[in-house]
Amino acid sequence: MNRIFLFFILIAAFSFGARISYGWDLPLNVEVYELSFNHDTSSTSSDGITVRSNGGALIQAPEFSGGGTTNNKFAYLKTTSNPTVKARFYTTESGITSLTIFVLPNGGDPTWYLSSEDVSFSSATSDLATYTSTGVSFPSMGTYYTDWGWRVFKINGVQQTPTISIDGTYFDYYVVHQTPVAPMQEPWVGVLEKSCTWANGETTVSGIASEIADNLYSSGFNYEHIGGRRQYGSASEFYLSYFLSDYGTGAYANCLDMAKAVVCFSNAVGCSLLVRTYGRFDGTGNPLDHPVNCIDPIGNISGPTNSPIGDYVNIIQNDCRSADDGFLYHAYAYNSDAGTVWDATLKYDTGSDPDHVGGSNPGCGDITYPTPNWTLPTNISESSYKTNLLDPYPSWFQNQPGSQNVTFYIAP
Amino acid sequence: MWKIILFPVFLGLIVIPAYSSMAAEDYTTWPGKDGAVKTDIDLPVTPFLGYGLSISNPRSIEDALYNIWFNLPEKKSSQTPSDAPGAKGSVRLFVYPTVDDAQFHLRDTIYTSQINPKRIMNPPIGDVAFSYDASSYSTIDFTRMNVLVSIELIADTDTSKIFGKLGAAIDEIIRNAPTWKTGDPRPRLNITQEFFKTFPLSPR
Repeated sequence: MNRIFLFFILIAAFSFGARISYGWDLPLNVEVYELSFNHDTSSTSSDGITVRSNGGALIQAPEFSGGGTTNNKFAYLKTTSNPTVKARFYTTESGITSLTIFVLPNGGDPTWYLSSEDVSFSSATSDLATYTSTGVSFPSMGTYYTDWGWRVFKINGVQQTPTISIDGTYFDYYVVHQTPVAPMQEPWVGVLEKSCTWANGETTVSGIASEIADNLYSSGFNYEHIGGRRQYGSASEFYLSYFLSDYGTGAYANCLDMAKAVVCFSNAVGCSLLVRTYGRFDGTGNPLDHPVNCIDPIGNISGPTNSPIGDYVNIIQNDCRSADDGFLYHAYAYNSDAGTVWDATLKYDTGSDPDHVGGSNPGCGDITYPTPNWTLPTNISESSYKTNLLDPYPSWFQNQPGSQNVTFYIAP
Repeated sequence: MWKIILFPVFLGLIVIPAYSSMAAEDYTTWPGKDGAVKTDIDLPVTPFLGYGLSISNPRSIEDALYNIWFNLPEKKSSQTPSDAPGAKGSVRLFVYPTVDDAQFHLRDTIYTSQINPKRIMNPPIGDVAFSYDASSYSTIDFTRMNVLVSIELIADTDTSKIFGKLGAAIDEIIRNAPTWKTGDPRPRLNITQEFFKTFPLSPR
């Protein structure tokens, strides 16, 4: 009996001594305090790119801080491989001067294999540790995730067997095709969220822009058919916050708004598109000389029509329709290197009877009812686009319409 | 009176080829530049009654302090009042910090529109005004001091009645508003709870 009592006394004394010696106990109270993904804003070779929150505020490293109180999105270039991550940890344990901390990947494709790092503690918050990664490369742009389990291998230089789990972190992040381009050279995360989702896995500028135009056409905006008025800022600005908040609400937009949107969402992931107008724009150039063929404008207010302005929103008119019912100009997204067009405002009919009028020229002709082949203009040469969009007869003014490239900035 | 003033403008549309080579308006020379900047512009209920208006997306934009979008009733609605026969459309008011800002945005609104409004010289409402009148729709845009007003209508009847009456009422509201002084908060509209109660919010 005395031996048993003595045994428990010794066990208790040993346990007490251990606490006195090391000052920590299981579970080990250590957590990931902050993580920096875009820690070098002058380079993108081994870390993230600069992004902004919706509204334009700069997101600065550490993107993850306060143990997760702040958890901002981050993004990488597709060409970035094996990026580094800077980390800081926090502990309420006393007596800890250093930890060797490594990451056990719990998921994500690609899988991030992070280095094991010695982390020094001179206070409750550790010094900054730089983790290098292996196995990280991105086959295409898109949305990615990574799930990390953080574990301690050594405490104050003493190896722990088994290793001790201290925290878990999960991140969704974006990978862009190329360096983002103005006016989204520092892209908003709300834009990246949509662009990277829509064009997930795309590997070409044309494929990316086509996915973006296609999704914007289905985004719930309605064509402003009364006066064809822009709704999101003057020619030189784009109220992106309002565009994002109106997304899916049925709000009105015109071709200039939608062209700006295609450019914003495409350039955010590295396409180099610009807004281009054809016709009389900003008070200069000749107006469009012809009516449009039968088109299906964005949204569900205006149905198929060859007279998109005014009250003829669901009406097909014959070839005596006037300039009042057509566009003074039209705007679209344009790749000046390739001479190709993306238009998220309308689909046109690429069937055998694109204007839905027969027997005209000269004369008004008769309305026809062909089976349409609605086509969204994506990655099409500008000349073919104009041919598909415009009805060659009638010619209203016998003037050559003007073309302009439009630059704009992002308004908050 | 209104139709008499607009008539030459409408006649001008008949000579459509003429505008294709028309030079852009130089808004820096527009009248009204020396006008007062108005603020605390109250929107009383009474002048807006009778059009079946509803309000959508009232919001401030940094340089266009307010964007109030009124929806006119659907065409041929049984609730369409006699003042707005068979009409639908929108009325928008933007309050800017300066007269020059308002006039710049008037110019930009006109020149980014997919239609081609014409300048009304010596307009009966506003310092500067543009209008367009087609067979199925009409628009008028004007600035009075630092406020831009845009009215668009689709109608199968005479729209000048709406433009004349509603436009004139808004113009008078602006002119009667207090003058902004240095040190005051940025110019603004005052939209009362009574106004919001009278004209329901609706999606655009």
